[in-house]
Amino acid sequence: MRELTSPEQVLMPLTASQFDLLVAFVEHPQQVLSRDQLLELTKGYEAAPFDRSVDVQLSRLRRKIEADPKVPTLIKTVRGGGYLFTPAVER
Amino acid sequence: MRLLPGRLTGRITLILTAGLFSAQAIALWLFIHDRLVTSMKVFGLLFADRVVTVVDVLDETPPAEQAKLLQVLNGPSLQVGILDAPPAKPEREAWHAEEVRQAVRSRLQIELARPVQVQDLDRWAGSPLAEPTSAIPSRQSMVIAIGQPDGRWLIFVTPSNIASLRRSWRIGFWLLTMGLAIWLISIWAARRVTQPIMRFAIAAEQFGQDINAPPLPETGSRELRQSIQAFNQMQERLRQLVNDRTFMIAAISHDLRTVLTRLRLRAEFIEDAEQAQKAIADMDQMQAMLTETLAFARAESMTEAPVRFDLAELLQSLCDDFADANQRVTYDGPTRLTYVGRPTTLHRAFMNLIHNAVTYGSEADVSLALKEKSVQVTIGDRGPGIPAELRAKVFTPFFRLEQSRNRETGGIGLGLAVAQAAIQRHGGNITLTERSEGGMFAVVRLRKQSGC
Repeated sequence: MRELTSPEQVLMPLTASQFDLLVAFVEHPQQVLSRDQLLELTKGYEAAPFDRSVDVQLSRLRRKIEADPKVPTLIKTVRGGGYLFTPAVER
Repeated sequence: MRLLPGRLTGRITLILTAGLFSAQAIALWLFIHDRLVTSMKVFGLLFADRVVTVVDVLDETPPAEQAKLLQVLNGPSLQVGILDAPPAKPEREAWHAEEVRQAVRSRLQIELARPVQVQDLDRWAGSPLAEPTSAIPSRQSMVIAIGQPDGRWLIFVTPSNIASLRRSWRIGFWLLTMGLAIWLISIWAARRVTQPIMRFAIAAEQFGQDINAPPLPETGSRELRQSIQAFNQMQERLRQLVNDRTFMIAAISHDLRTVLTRLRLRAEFIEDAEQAQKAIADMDQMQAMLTETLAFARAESMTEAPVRFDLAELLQSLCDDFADANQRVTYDGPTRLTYVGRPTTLHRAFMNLIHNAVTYGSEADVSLALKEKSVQVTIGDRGPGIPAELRAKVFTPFFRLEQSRNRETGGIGLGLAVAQAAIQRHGGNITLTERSEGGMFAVVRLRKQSGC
């Protein structure tokens, strides 16, 4: 089921592309993922070199899962490299 | 001012309290009155005995020493003196003491065999004995006059305590305590009686929002059980009706779609390329209309269960989606707001409202605010607005302000109807108001629940 709930059992609405992005992170925890990698993981094709749409989706995803989106702790930005999903994943 | 309380509990409490309290008050009054008269009689007769003794002693005393004796007899508990004439009857005498006066009068007549006059002290004239006044007579005092053999009158004034009910505060205390007890019991009883009715009312309200609400348990008084039974039957019939209708629309839509698919295949064989394209465009339009109609029919009977979800995030996501499609949509409000409702239903409602705003009003300013009793979502646009007389009408299914039925600018007139049905299922409403800076506001008020 494609559902995101907070620890307080509150359902968080999520779009399909944001869900795909989250899945990409959850399947590659504690790894730095570049924009290109993320685009490939979410859309399944090579993206144009300066595609920023991942950044937009990412900021929206942060708004949903971070306690404070301005100071992200779950998805960190790696300078020049991409993004890092910090928590350990349990199945 | 309203004389009756609005709530049934209040009314029943009032009736019970008023009835029981007055009954108790009357009983208490009768009891006290009886006790009062009895005690007055006892005191009165005791006093009469003293009067007899004084008269006997005076008869034995030589006339020269009588005045001296009277002076000695005067004290806090007895006033006595000799006057030439009996005191005038006061205009009003305490009616409840008539029995006492009668008893004292007959006792004195039997004992003394002289003219006897017993009456209340005239509260305006005061004591007939100018002096000595060592005892202060009160308005409850009695005046006794005995006709002496020499034609003069021996006057006695009783002390005040014969008739006064000194412990009157006790009655007040008991009345208050009793009233309080009756009031509390009445509230309890009224609550017990009205609770099933309250539950019934709440269930009826729920049913208005959710046709699939479970039937009510038939409990309470016989009348109430009957009402609940009738209500449950009505709900069942309505549910059946709505389900039948939805099923019918769904069946028609489905069958039409099958035909439409066949038609689409046939359109491929139209030789004229332009005509073929137009035919396919018409069919696309038909398909869209069918989909929308089906969605509306389903909205009424949709079985989505309420869950806790983030309403603020739902609105922000919606705004993002519109912004991604290059629409001017902004969001203003908290980033998080937990709400218990049906997210898919509400998503569709807000999507329709925002879609209308950007389509007819070029932009949508969405804001979310937590009010005292409701959660308020406002969608502002910059369009020409809707004339006041048409504002209620736009929520009617298939009503369109644009008469051209132009598919390019919108649907078939179900967007607002779907939105309103969805909002009403959440105990809310939509109002359309003018925006002072130009444009219009669609104000959605959702019922606030505990926990948000």
